[in-house]
Amino acid sequence: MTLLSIFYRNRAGWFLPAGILFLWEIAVYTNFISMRFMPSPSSVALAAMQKILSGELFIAICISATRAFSGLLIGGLSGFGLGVLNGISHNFRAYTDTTLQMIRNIPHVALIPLVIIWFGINENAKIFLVALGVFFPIYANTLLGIQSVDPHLLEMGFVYRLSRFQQFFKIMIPGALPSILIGLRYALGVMWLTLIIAETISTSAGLGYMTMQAREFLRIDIVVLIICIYALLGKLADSIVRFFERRLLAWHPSFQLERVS
Amino acid sequence: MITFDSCKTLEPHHNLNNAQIRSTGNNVDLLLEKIAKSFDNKPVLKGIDLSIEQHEFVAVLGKSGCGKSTLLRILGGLEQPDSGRILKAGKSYQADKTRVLFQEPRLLPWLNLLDNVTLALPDRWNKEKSRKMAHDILLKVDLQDQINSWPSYLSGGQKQRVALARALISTPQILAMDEPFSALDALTRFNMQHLLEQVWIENGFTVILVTHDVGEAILLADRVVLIEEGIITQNIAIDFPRPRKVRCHTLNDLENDLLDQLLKIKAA
Ligand SMILES: Nc1ncnc2c1ncn2[C@@H]1O[C@H](COP(=O)(O)OP(=O)(O)OP(=O)(O)O)[C@@H](O)[C@H]1O
Ligand SMILES: [Mg+2]
Repeated sequence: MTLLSIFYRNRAGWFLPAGILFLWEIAVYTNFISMRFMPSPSSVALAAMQKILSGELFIAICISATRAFSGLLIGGLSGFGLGVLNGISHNFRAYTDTTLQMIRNIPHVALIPLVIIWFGINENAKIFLVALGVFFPIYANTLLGIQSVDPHLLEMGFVYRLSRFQQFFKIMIPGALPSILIGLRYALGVMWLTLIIAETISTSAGLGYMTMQAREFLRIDIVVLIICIYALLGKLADSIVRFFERRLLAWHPSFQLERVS
Repeated sequence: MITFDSCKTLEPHHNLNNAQIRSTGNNVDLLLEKIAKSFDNKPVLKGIDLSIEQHEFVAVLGKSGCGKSTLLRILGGLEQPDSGRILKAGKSYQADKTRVLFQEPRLLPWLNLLDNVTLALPDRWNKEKSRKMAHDILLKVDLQDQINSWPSYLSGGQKQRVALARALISTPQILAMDEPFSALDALTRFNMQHLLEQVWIENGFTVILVTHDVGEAILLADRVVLIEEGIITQNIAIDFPRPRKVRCHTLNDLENDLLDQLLKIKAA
């Protein structure tokens, strides 16, 4: 399925945004909305052109995406690992789960002042915050997924004398996968949000830095452009996970229904 | 396809041989001695004594909650008895050659039929050989056209046939079945019963079938045992030649007798 065909299938959904953009353009053009508060869609497009051609946008996106995905990798893998460990081992869960649930109640962005003291304002600070933010959704959903694997299937595995390795990779992980992917999608949302906040507070490169500079020079068109870029990146990451969901969970009755319709 | 006709193609002399071997009665293979099991201080099994010969087909009857499933789970190694012992050919019993067929098929929804069946084969085996074997056995249960489907596409009877195929491919010595056909419609159940009888005759394993259905027990089993109050109170040999007809008079009489006995316990 190509991007174009997805676009075509949802064509009814695009009427409203297209109409809003059109009215907005007219409103700015007729000075109904002041250029100082809200740039017109065409001026945002123009700013996009300039920034793309100068290569600035590409570099900024690369820098921000690297931060985001480094954080996701670190936080996601440790969340997944601990989730699996606690899902499998009752003892391990007894010792660690309470602690983790307590830490979970601290909003991770509240740690920004501390993080700045610990790491300064370099890359590590932002990666740390993102990792912390994505850790919990992935940990909690992995744990839930492993715990909710049908015990009947594990019993079946026992009757057939599956090795621990097979029990894990053939029953537990596939059984927990729907839940893990939900956690991943949620984590992606947290990832972008955390990055935006972290980048807005302290940075010297990347999308957040571009926004802060644009604000100082009153380049509101660039500010809006970057907001749109954040939205697009978020949507893109979500679509990638949904793609994998459809591939990996094709056996799942709910995805089969989706395919038929 | 296991049709009504194919059931008649079973070789009667094969069965008679088995019947003769069994009638000697000193060929005990599996011996359960004073098996007891309680849950939360509530005794469920209070001393099950049962001897089963090789290649015997034993049906276990009893009212709901009497511990039939518990007995099967002990045989499958899923539960440990509190006391008593099990001997296999005179030695301490290991459950690793016993396969349990549950009431639900318990297929892995994320594997296609072929992979669900090869799951029962050792992982280190040659992949091609495993697939070939699985293919053959799925052919036997008449699912060769769906080997690449996911279980969710199948009907209840088809799923249970896959579960049977999975149990058979691992060449069990004992097949322990917990009401495997009770969720199926009458016609599918009838076909499954004949399929089971056929593979049992061909493969020479021992079957222990837990069922609620007296008719099913009489149709298939060499022996019917009844569990009451945690012990075996009836142990009846069914010496009818095979293949048995569902609507045969003598079978019906026997079924009525057994039902009467069952009803008596329930009333008491
Ligand atoms: N894991 C368990 N924990 C506590 N009690 C149990 C457990 N397993 C079984 N029991 C109890 O043991 C008794 C016998 O259960 P079992 O499942 O063996 O009965 P059953 O004969 O198979 O009944 P049915 O015909 O309804 O399937 C029941 O009272 C049940 O509540
Ligand atoms: Mg039961």
